[in-house]
Amino acid sequence: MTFNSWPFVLFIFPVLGVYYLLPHRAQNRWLLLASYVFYGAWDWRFLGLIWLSTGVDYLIGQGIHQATDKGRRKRLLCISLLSNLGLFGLFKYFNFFVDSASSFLTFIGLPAPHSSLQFILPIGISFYTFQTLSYTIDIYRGTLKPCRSFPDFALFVAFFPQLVAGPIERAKRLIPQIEQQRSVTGTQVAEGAWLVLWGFFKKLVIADNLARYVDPVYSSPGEAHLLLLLLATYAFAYQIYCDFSGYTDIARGLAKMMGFELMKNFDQPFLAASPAEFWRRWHISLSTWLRDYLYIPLGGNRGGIRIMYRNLFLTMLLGGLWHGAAWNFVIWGIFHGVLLILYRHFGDSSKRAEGGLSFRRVMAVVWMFHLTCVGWWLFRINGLADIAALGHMLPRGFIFDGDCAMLLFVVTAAACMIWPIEWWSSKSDDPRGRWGWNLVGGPVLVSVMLLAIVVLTPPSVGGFIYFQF
Amino acid sequence: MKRFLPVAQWIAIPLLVFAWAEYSAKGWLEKQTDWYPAYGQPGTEGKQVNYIFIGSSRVGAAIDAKTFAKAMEEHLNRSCQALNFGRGFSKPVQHLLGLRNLFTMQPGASRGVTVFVEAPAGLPVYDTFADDWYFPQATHMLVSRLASEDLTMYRKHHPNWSQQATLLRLYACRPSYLMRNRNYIRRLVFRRSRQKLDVLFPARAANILEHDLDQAGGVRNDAAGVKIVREQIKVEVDSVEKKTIPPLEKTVLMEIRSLVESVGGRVVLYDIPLSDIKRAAFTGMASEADRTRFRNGLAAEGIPVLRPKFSHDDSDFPDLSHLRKSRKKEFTRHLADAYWTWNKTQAQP
Repeated sequence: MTFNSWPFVLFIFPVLGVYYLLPHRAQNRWLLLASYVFYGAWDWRFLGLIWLSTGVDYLIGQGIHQATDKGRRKRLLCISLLSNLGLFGLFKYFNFFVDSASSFLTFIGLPAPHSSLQFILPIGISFYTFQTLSYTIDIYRGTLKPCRSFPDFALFVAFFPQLVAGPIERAKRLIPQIEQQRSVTGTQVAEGAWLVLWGFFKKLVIADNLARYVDPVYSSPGEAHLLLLLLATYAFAYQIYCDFSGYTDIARGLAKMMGFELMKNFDQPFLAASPAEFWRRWHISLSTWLRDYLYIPLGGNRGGIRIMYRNLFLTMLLGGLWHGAAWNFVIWGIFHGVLLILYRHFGDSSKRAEGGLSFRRVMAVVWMFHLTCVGWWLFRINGLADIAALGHMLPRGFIFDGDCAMLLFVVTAAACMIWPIEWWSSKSDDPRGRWGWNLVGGPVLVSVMLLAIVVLTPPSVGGFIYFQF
Repeated sequence: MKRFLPVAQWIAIPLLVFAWAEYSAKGWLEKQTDWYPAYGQPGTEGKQVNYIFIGSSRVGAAIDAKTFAKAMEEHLNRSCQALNFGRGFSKPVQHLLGLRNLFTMQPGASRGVTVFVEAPAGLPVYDTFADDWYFPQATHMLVSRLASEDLTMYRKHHPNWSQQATLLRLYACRPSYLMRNRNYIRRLVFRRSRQKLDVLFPARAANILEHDLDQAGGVRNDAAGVKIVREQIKVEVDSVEKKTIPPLEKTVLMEIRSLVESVGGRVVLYDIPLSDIKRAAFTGMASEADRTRFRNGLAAEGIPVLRPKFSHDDSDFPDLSHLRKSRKKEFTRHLADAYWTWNKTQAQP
């Protein structure tokens, strides 16, 4: 079941209706049941993985907290890491490593053993694994007390709005919200409804329509030319932003309507002037997770410049691999790692350009957008062979034809629809304080957005891109 | 009063916006999408309809209704009326429901009508009720023709609850022009934009973006359209799998025949011109033995298959699917002659 499906529409209204009628404890049980139904509707067999992860981490969390012996605490943490990362690695990377090893052996002329074992990637495993890992690590570090109630912890792991594609919530933020009495105010419902509507608009009207123009270009690299690829990559940048941030907005909106506050996952990332700023604005829950649980434990920027560069590189490499078990994601991670290192090495000019609207900042933003587009190209290609196809595109050069004009038109239209509203609502999720909302602006805007969703949603809507991770 | 103003504003403004959109859509779409209109095409109101052509975009491209009517007028020495409902993305069930609605709303006008059904490569499309009733990109073509009793029939032939829920949802949107034609409007928005941009920036390289055929019959003769259709045909031919042709009595065609006969009319099949590759695709879909069985079944039921003497080659199909516009009248006249010749051999003219 995905947010953009009819079964979800039939699911969410009874869930919300019953939720509002129940007392706090019962609300949590109800949400837990709803979360399992939501996940099980995709494939009930993988509920076992969630239950296993929940059970192991709940017990280990308690164990670490009660243990006084440092060695025992460490051993328990290792069990948590091994079980979570073991399952994660097995389901996400087994096929990738076996196929890669097989290709390598064939390449060097050795017989490659044939593996008939193939794993299906359980949806959302990358997200809930990182979420539960943060729980046990935080308890180990002594910055978090374990959750007392098992059902509450189970809800923390499986909370349906953010279960399959984040934001990757920290236990420190979400568990207290689960444990404490929640009162849903009219303001929260209004804010949540706005976020849900805006999220659906971005996904259905913008991302799914852009996909229709991006996919043909990327699926026929032999025919495209450089300018077309460039424009298709701009379009993909907007597509993936609207797809993923749309999902996050819907998740945050739904959670808000139930009295929960999920973290902001995006902050106008294409206005970033440097790679570091980009990662402070893009998929914030993942980049901060990687910072807190990978980059800093690796040594962060302590221990000299070489160590820092190594840590940046490794963090981004693993960040790339987190996205998908394919070489293009590895290269995408490496690309961002190298960008971060280069910006650090040659001086982050964006730091000087940060704040205010100067010509220097505008140029830095434009340059950074193009660098991220190189990354999006690596992210979107269907295989490493597509990189070689770039060589065939070069002789075709830059031809501005009908296809290019259409792509430019859809990208410009997307940008014109997104940025004014993103800017307008950037300071707060509550649009009611914004200019014009309380006159006719609010009702007209909402009506036009609903109308656009009704008319412009493609007949076969695509799944969310980040579901595959 | 002041307290209620925001609430009233939040009810009234969205209502006004949607009412405006619905009104605009109705005015704009009424003529464009009313494919089987209650009172026929412009100028046919209340007139006797003698000949109706149904089928795919191939029919839309190959038949000129006025030429056919004129040819028959010459043979019969009386005024004739012909309508061409051949349309891209249509399904046999849609034609059945469209004809039913037409016959119900104009009972007298369709008395004794002859319905021409295309028979590509000698066989008609042998869809049964269990096949898809609509293309996902053209739901409006079914929705506008549906009646509540059709939902029961759909449920009978499509036990999958998800398919049933989809049709129910589409049916529920029927009263709104905006809702039932949303796919059409969406495609039109993008298509019109593309057409305007194509004028400014003509295609120089291979067009790889546009994957929709023209709304009005699926016929496109521009470079990009031709390329798309050629690719489609290549895929079709490459992926052709021999299917078993269902028993004749289970096909929608037989239901169309019963319906037409109920108004005193008859169904006539005709071999429609095809390019070689397309003909190969059609003949390759089923085994020759199966095709012969079906052909014999048609003969046993007394359903004729006309074969107009019309010579053509692949150059007559700019997109390999649809007959060149300049040969449309010629084929139609040949078909009229073939029909007249056959008709003379029948006891009842």
